Parts: sequence; structure tokens; C-alpha cells
Amino acid sequence: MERLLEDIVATPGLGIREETPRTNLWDTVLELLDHVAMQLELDPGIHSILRQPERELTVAVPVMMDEGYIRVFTGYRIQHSSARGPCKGGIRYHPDVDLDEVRALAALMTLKCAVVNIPYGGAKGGVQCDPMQLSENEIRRMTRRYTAMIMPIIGPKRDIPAPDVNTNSQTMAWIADTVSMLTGKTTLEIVTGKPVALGGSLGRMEATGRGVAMVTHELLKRAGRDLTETTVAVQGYGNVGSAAATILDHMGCKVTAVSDVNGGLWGPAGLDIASGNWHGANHPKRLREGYQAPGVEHISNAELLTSAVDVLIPAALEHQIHARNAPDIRARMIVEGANGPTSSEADEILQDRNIIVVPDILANAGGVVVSYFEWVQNLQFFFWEEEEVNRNLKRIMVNSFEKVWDYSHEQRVPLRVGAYMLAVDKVARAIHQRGVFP
Amino acid sequence: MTRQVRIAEVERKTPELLLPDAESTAETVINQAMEFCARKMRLEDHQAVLKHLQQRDATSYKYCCYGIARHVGDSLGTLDQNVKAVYTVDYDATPEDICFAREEQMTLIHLIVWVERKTSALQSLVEGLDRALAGAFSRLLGLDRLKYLLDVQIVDDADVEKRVGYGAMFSSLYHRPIKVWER
Repeated sequence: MERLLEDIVATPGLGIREETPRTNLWDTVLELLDHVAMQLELDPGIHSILRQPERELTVAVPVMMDEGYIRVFTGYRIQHSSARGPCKGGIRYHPDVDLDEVRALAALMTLKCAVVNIPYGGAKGGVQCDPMQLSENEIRRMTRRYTAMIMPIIGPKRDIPAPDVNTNSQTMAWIADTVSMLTGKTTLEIVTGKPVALGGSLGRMEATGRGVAMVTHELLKRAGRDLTETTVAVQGYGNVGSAAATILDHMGCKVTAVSDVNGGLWGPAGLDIASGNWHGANHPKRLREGYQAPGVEHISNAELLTSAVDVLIPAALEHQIHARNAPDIRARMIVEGANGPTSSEADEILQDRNIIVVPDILANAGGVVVSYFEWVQNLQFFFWEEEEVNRNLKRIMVNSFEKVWDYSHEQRVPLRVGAYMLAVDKVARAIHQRGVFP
Repeated sequence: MTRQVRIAEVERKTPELLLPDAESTAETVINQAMEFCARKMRLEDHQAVLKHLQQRDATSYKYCCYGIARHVGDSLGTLDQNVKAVYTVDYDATPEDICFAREEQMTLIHLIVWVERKTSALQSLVEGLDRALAGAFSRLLGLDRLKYLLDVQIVDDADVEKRVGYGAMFSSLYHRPIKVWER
């Protein structure tokens, strides 16, 4: 009984815990859509279509807990737009998941897929739960029941889920298996982000970081910079940051600073990324701990952000570049590996200082592009070598960068605004060309 | 003649919050975390948890870390009345890519401590507890002594309201802290 009470108290809406005050994220996305619609002089009818998700499903997910009692979790699946193709978007497990958050994320997925021109609309899903309070068996049962309950609206040509906060390739494997069992046919193409042994794509793990590196390369070409004379700082040495640093190092750039949560390394002559990777793999999140090399100093994260480099790649948390440090940033180019690393106030300061910012919606889209490749391979029952995955990723990232760059220059707007305008324009054209049914 | 007194001279130093016994608090926190892990993984006892940890099993490490986070939150909240709530958070870039990262052992436990006001006393308390936890955890697993186990970021109401630093996480779409303790 004590454990049951503990679980209930820990459940948002049931217990005594207060919700953390949050801004309405859906309102924020609507403001963004309205702003872009105004700049595009978008047809009001199409604008109103985009202001509402196409379909919203809320489900009550009963789960038999290990201790023999039943708990009911609330789950969502929201499809913002299928104008450009089947909907695509992750599923997250988190105590604070709510309808507005899922709506906002679904709409942003519509725009992200449009920016890189992959044939998807946007969706998102979630279950309101604290996964750390659940055992693996409970998570598995919850995933399977949630899958069964959203099955009427998902499908390989309807809506393809993927991992997000607190879900992973194992969760995706359970979803694929549940659908396969319920339909009586192997349906691996129902989700992406699966383990490679179960139809996942090679190259997925490094895809976001690789995309960041590819976009950086294109940016340097446009800026007329020689790669070998370019210095780069990477903040965040997780999956995205370490892959981006490694690939840029291979391309010939001089990576002079990297950092993780506890600070970083600064080597003005260029860091030995291979040895840094080895050290990072053996001391996760402890990059500085015990690392010594000639000419390498230890620096703080704040120092890394304002270090004297040509390109800065924030690949850690949100809002790392803010109004207070934006005036001190010395890099002339910023490529956003993380989601939302630049606050809106900082964005304006950087714009005034003529610092080029490649926005997250484009720069870190490599992950969703390779998810698209996974789906394509699953539909074909034919799997690509990693070289082919990377070659196609490059084609898409380079084309997308060129489109956003050219469009932004034509419209005389920053790359971030240009990327959103281009995305909304693509979705609007698809809606217009399809017409309004019936 | 009255002497001009500068404000700095009359400001009282914040009384330091001394952890009653950092070592025994750390031992208790780790025992409670192992108990939590055993319960979630349906393991018989601490020895079974220890075996999993020594085999570098990522699931047992994950549950232990979460257990530690909860009990650290509890300790900080009990010892410092300024602490309003404690959260855990993932650090790296995009959530989708955390899903594809290698599951790591011996990584850090990231905590955000939301306080009424930031004090050096709380900072010292955190540092003392972290040292003791890192020592106790290293001894438990028979490792070289870890320097730290926790990454603690302290934010106040202004940080949260103005979305400064880690205060921005509470209204983030992408990085979602999970509350582990609340007053």
C-alpha cells in the first residue's frame, strides 16, 4: 500500500505535487506560424489549416503493475499535418507531457521535415509517466498497450513514430512487435529508430552530428573559407557534438575547443580529436578529468562559447547563448547542433553583429533524414551500406542548406527566418495543390 | 563623530550549512538507491544489485542514479530550507540523439536545484555531499576514486522566470527535467 501511495503521489494530477509553471508552448509555436504567415502573405485559409493539428487522439492506458494493481496513464498522438506525406515524429515518456506540448512538437516536426524536403508531415506522441518510477516490464506493458490504442491512426503510410525523450530503440522494437502481432504480418516500417538487427539503419547513431558537419562544410564554402584554415569550437561532447567534431577534424578543420558539462579543452594549435574521443569514451561527461596533452589547457563552458574561433557549434543544452554572452561571442559563424541553443534576444544581438547562425531546424536535421532512410529501406526490404546512407544524407543536407541560404538571401532575412518561411511555404503549396477535400 | 559604515562591512556572512556527517549521509543515500534499484529490477538484495553494477549493466546503473538523485534531493531539501525542488535532467543535445547514445556507466548525475536564493552555504553542502558520494560509490564498486558523481546546477526564481541558464530548462520543449523532490 505504501508503494502504491508513493506511485500515486509521484503521478502528476493525482498527487500533491505542483506542476512546474511553464509557458504555453503551443501558443509560442502559433506565434511563430503567424509571424511567418504574415511575412509570406499566406492565404488566410491555409494559415488557419496550419494553426490546427489535423488529428488529436488521447488515450487512457491501463497497465498491470508488477505489484498486481492497475494504473492508468494518459497518452497522446497528435498529427499536425499530412499534406506532404505520412506524419513523422517521436514518442516521449515524461511526467509533464500534455496536449499543448505534443501539439507544439508535432507542428515543429511538420516544418523540420519540410526544410529538408523529406516527404513527411509532422506528428508527436507521448505518455504522461515518470519512466524512472517504472520497471522495464511495466514500461514494456505500457508501450504495448499504448501502441494498441493509437494503432487506428498510425501506420507506415499514415504516421511513423520514432524515439524521443525517455524512449529508445528498445521502445521502438516493442512498438514494431506489437503492431506485427496484432496485424499478423511483420511491420517493421511502422517505426524508425529501431535496433540495426531489427531493421534500423546503419549510420543513424552519428547522423545528427554528421549532418551538422556537412552543413558547416557548406557554410564555409559559401563564406569562401578554406577548411584547413578554419578553427572550430564544439560545446557538448555527447552523441551530436563528438560526431560533429570528429567529422570536421577528418575534413581538415582545426577543432581547437571541445567541452562537456564540466568544462572543456582548449588547444589553439588544434586538439587531437582521436585521443579526446578515446578519453571521452572512458570518462563519459568527464572530458577534463585527467586529460593532458602538450599545448592543451582546461577551460570552462563559458570560456569555450566566447573563444577565438571561426565556427562555434553549440551541441548541448538550450539557451546556452543568451543576451549576456552574445555580445562577447567571437566566432563569425554559429551552427546549432542542439535544439534552441540561442535565445531570441541573443539571436537579435548576433544578427546585429553580422554573425551567421545556421538554425537548429536545418543544422540538426540529419537525424530525421536518416530516420527517413530507415523507413525507405524497410519499405524496400533492402538495406544500404553505411556509405550509401552517408552519401544520400550529404545530398539532402547540402541541397537543403543551399535552398535555405539562397531563399534567405533572396528574401533578405536571416537563415532562421528563411528556413521557417521556406518550410511553411512548402507545406502551404502542398495543401494548395492537393485542394480541400471533398 | 559617526563612522561611515560600508554596506559590505555590516552584511552578515551566510551561515554555513554543515552536513552533519557527509560520509554517513552518502552511505545512506547509496543504500536507499540500491534498494530502489532492487525493487525496480526485482532483484533479491543489495548484493544482487552490486553484481549487476559490477558487470556494468546499464539498467541497474540507471536505476541507482535515479535513486541517488531522489535521495540527494531529499537530503538537500531537509538540510537547506531554501531548496524548493530538485530535478534530474539529461545534458546532451537532441533528445532523439540521447536515444541513440551508448549507454554509459560512471557518467554524472545531473541535478537542477531550484532555490529561493543562491547561497554559498548550499554550494558547500553540495560539494561536501558530492565528495562523500563519489568516495562511497567508488569504494562500493572497487573503482579508482571518482572525483565527483554529481553535476548540480543551482537556479533561483529569476533564472526560471527569465529563462537564464538551467532556469530555461523548465520551459523547454526539448530538455525536460524530471522532478525528484519537492518541498
